[in-house]
Amino acid sequence: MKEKGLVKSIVTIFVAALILFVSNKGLAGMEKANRERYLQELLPYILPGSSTFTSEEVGQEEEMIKAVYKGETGYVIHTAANGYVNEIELLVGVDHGGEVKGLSICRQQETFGLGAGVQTNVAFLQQYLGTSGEAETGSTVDALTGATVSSKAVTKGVNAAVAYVTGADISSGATTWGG
Amino acid sequence: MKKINVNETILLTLVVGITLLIQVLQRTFLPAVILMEFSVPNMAGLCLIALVLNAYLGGERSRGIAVNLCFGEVIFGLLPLLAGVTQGKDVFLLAIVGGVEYALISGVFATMTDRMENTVKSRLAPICSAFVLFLACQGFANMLL
Repeated sequence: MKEKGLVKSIVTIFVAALILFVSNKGLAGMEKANRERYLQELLPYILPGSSTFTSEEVGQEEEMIKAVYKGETGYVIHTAANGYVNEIELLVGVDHGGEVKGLSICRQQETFGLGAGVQTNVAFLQQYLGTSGEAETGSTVDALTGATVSSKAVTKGVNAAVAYVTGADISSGATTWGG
Repeated sequence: MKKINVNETILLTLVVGITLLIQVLQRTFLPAVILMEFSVPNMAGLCLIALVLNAYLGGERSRGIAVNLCFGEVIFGLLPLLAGVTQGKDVFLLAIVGGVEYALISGVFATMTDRMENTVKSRLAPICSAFVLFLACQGFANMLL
């Protein structure tokens, strides 16, 4: 690379870095407010019957639990479990009796056409509604075809959320690959 | 083909920069959207878009693997950090993986396109090379899982 090209490259990187830094810092406040508003709109769908939610502290020993939101009829638990590619994060609505009332996948990087289906396959997700922490992939819940590891991760996330509410002990930790 | 005064590094900076800017805007205005992860195949895809653009725009080529390694590390390390995409030790991991990936891909891409242009003289040589390399990177990434 010629010297002139080298200088132009460095200048381009510097300008790009500056634009990204300014836009990231400038939009940080708006991003936080929008995320908070989105969450307050989403949570009543995940836990029907509750309209206001308050964030609760999560103990450090809770490896799979990322956040807890308390509503009038139960809790919405933000859990994470290791999928095939990366962590699958989900929001699980659990009532005071330990029954799953709703769930939504909020982050996943699974394989397109296979594991990514855990987010969009309604029939798969509906299987968890009404369960009370005893869900098991292959027996009580059918795994998605070609996505056993991703399906098991969702099951682990749901069971961990129920266990957090009911205080039950769960057998597998977040570090186990796909359960 | 008319030559434009750009090079691979400038185009890679633009491609990565625009991708990150879109992510910042998505994060702000569309909080429900799941953002693209900077994984091995995705970073390879960004490198290949820049290399294909450079080939068609007739930009300056860089064959110095050490120079590409340094620029790749700066681009994939600094830009995602400033865009708030990475933090902590992920910054170094992304910088190293991105730098190595860019250096290797640009070297192999240049060799492949040269060979294809010298034999079949096809205008599709850059796209075909990029497609094959992207599949190779995807296969490699799946081997790591």
